[in-house]
Amino acid sequence: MTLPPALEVRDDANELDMISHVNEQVATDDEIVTWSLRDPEVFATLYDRHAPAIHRYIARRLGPDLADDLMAETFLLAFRQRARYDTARTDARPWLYGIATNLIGRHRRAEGRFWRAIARSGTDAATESLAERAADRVSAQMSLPALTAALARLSKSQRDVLLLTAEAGLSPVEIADALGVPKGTVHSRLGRARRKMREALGGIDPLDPREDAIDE
Amino acid sequence: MNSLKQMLPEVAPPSREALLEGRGRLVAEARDEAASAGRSRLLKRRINPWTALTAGLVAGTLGVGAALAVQIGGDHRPPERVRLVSAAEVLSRASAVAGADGAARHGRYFHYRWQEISLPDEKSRHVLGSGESWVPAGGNGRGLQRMQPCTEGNAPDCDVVLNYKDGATDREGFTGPRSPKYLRDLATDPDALLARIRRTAKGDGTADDRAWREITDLITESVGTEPKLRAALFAAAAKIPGVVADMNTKDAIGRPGIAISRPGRSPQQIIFDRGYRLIGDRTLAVGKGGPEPGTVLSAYVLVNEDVVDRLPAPRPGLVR
Repeated sequence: MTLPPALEVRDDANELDMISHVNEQVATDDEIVTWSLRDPEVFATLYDRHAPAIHRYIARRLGPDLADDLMAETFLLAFRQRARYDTARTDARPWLYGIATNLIGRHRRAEGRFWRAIARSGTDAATESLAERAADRVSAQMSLPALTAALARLSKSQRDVLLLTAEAGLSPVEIADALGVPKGTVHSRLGRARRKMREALGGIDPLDPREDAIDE
Repeated sequence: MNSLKQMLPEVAPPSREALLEGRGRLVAEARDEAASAGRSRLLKRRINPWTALTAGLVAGTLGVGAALAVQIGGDHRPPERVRLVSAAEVLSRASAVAGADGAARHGRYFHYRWQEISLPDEKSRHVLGSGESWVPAGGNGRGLQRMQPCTEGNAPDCDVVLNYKDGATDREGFTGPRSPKYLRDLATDPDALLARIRRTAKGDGTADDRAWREITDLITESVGTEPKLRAALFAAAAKIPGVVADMNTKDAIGRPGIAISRPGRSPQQIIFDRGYRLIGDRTLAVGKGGPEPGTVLSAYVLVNEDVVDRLPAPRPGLVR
């Protein structure tokens, strides 16, 4: 592998250090991963960039308590596996979401309990404020318990692709990368997940962007 | 936004503590790896003369010396125009961190320790002054400045009692030129804040120069004010062109941090810790004929800050 030029990060940074570069270009994720092979601490830049989003995804699926720990664990695993990173991918998010999804898979029971608890109580421990926002907008269509009960009934693999699409905003190709499965598999799992959710939600497609109109 | 995301309630962002802990675990492992790689390199260097001699002989013989030299030597020049993070990213994170702080309850006090340091040359460092400040939450009520030396009457030490109204004090020289009330009125939206500052900021240079100078002043002066204001100021600063981040600086008291500045354009630089919390500012040389541009001339250091319940009583005999 050809390493890029050495890092700007310096061990001997001192009070008088000053960088006078202008018109900066920001390193892409693949460059950061590659550079971190030479200077491991650079990998923290990737953490700064993506940790909040990874936390949000995990908290959505497992709640806030596990999310703190698994967010850290995701980046530790990514760091240990970084030599295998495909540097053709400039965006590391699918890779990180894939690692996070695998970690979530180890807590499958916890996830089931999490969704079922929301379905029973109508409250979500991961959230800042319970569903007033959602309830305001979608009360005519459905309730949060019905939604989460429907999510709880999906298989793990269906929930993975649905939430990687809905929550993480990944495309089917990126999800295929993240999960290490063929793109066709992602499409079929997503199709089944959407069909099940539509049935449970009285016809509402969970990935329908037209529902944005409710938000306006 | 898709309908599923819209239907589910918002997820709370990770706490600053959780983010710092996760980062700390990662950096600790990275440092372990770097240290063991260093030991491994050292070991290789010990045997390297023989390896290099053999390699050189073989390479010379085979005529592939140049390729081998590249492989062994590598390219250690820093990239000219590529940076690990943008200043906008840093300031956005700083804004999120500041905004996540809860507003202090009425009746409590923002408390911080500070130092002013002069750096006349590379080797010298003079503490010009230091102190502690207590500012009433909400900007109304009694506050206190404890400072050494005292700017009032040239005493070596003193307590200055301050009465705040809408964030401004009744003593000249103890508050910035703009009251926090004025700032709070601005702070709802970073775009509106920046637009207004661009219109109203006075002084030399371009509109961006003036806006950067004004915003960095406001950021420093907003220490001890409401989190939303600081968040808006950081977010507005992120929108000014020419701002860059140096992720590996150290502040005037040796703490690792992130410096945000406009190299070659503005002397003001603000410093964050690795958790994106403001820890001070610095003034840099920018003009010709003086110190090398970029040289740090002086620094204001926020040693620590917290929120406390009580205002200490002024020390008898030291009140000015």
